[in-house]
Amino acid sequence: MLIETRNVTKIYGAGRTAVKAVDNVSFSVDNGELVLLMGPSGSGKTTLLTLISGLLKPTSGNIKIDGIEITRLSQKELARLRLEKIGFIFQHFNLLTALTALENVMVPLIIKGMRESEARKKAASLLKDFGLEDRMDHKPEDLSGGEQQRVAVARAVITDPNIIIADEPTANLDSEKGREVMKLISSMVKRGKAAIIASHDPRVEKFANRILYMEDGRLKDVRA
Amino acid sequence: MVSIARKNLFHDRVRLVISVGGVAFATMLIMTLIGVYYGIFTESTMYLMNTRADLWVGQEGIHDTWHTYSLLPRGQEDEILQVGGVKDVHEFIGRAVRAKISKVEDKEETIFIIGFDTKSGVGGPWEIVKGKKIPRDGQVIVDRVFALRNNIDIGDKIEVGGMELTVVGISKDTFVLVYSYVFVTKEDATKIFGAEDFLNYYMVEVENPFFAKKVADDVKNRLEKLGVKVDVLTKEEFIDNHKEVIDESFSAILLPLVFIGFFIGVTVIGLTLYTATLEKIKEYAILKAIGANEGFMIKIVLEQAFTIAMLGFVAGTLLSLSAANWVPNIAPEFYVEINVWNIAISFVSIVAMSVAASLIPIRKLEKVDPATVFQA
Repeated sequence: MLIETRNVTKIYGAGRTAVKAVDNVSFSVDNGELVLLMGPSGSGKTTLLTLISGLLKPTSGNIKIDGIEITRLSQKELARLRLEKIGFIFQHFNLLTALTALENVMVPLIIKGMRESEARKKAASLLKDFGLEDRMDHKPEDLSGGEQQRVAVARAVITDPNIIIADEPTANLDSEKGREVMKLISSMVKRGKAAIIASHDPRVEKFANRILYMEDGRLKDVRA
Repeated sequence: MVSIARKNLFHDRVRLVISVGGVAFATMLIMTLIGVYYGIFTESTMYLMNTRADLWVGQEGIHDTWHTYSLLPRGQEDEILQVGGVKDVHEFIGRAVRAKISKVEDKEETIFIIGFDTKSGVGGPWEIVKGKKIPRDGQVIVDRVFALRNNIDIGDKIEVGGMELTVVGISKDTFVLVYSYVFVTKEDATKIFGAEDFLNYYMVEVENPFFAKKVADDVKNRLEKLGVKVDVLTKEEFIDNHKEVIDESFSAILLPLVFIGFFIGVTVIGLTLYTATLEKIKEYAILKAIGANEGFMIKIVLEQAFTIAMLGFVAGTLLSLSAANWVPNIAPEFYVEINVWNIAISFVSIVAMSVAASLIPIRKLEKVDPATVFQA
């Protein structure tokens, strides 16, 4: 199992103002699986992704990433784990505005300590695979939404992580660009990665191996 | 090299230019103030450095030529010459007096008049910008700053102690803080001060400066056996005494100003970094989310701080060097000395500024919540 959660609960606040954002959630994701997390706004999808990413500590329960219990790791260890095992794709692309497309893709490799020439070569090759070879030296402001999201996907997978976590990756894209991005994610999953995607977008459903419905912080329904 | 820090900085060039400009002016302020400090040291000891005297024989208790007064009986040259290792002895007659500028009505200024032996030239001016180097009786060589300030040229007259003196030469590097050195024959100086039986110092040349201290002790012993109580200082000791006076008088004024410059620099760099950090806070959260650790983030802030500081330092150094050249044209009294020590102290200050200015942005980054990347 690449992702395994057991009885995960996250409560914000305390006493009468306490809000249970995630309530006793258990599920797992295996290699080669694309799991879609659906549900209305405020249902706890994003909080669950944040917990799996190690960006938030659960109030109770256990989370294992690639066999490692992450609830006991230090911030430094969690950062290392995210760098090596998880690739992130966000709704608003979240590219670094001062860097070019190529440099944005190089960032995780630079953080890992790879030599610049090697990082540049690797990032350029990946962007070429993603059909962005003519856009490498452009800054995010000069790229279309679809191009920005493809750069974001490239950044997410450049370190060859086993897990891709995506939050509404198609929400700001038209149907064609959304489909392109989902095809890219799907192709990664077919190579043995696992992906968990939070989305409202019904167009994403056909790419999913499994759909989890969330409501009021709980997993309501699991559809294969 | 893909430097996120530098890319972030150069992304907003207007802010970068303002920040670098701020640091450049802080550098200039610090460097100029330190330059004034060194300049005063150099100016005030220039006379002692350039006079061929290895030893200064003065009345017991002397410290420097400004604040302690020395009166010695004349006629001790032969006694001093008897001391082993002494090569030559010269008289020094000099003190601060008021001088009337004949050209300008009611204009008076304090000068330090020095009477020197015109035959040997010891004790006289060492660099002349105009006119003669050696005056005759009734003639005077004035300092360049004094000449510029009072619009004095060759042939003009000044009056000291009722004696009218004609300007025959203009000397350089003979201005000390508040007054200028002017040079006359020792005979004229004797008349001006009415000191036929006294002089202020004996200036002694020694055969081997390496043994100057030993010769100084021997001169003191010999004169004291004759009942003349003296202190004999080597050139270095006398220079140090003058530097001590400058240090005591000016450190208290200049150091606070240097600190003000330092805090201006810290504030400029700090504000720039803080606003740059706030503006990119979401991007720092992204970096944290994708796996950057604290060290990586701190490195970004420090690199930004050092980049601003170094660019500002280079610009500030160039401005200071330029100011050191043109300021004396406007204010001849103002001597700014940009030397290696000055540059080194300023550089260390700027590095310290960048570290200090980075502390608050670093604290801010430590608190960045990477979970915010999932928020719209």
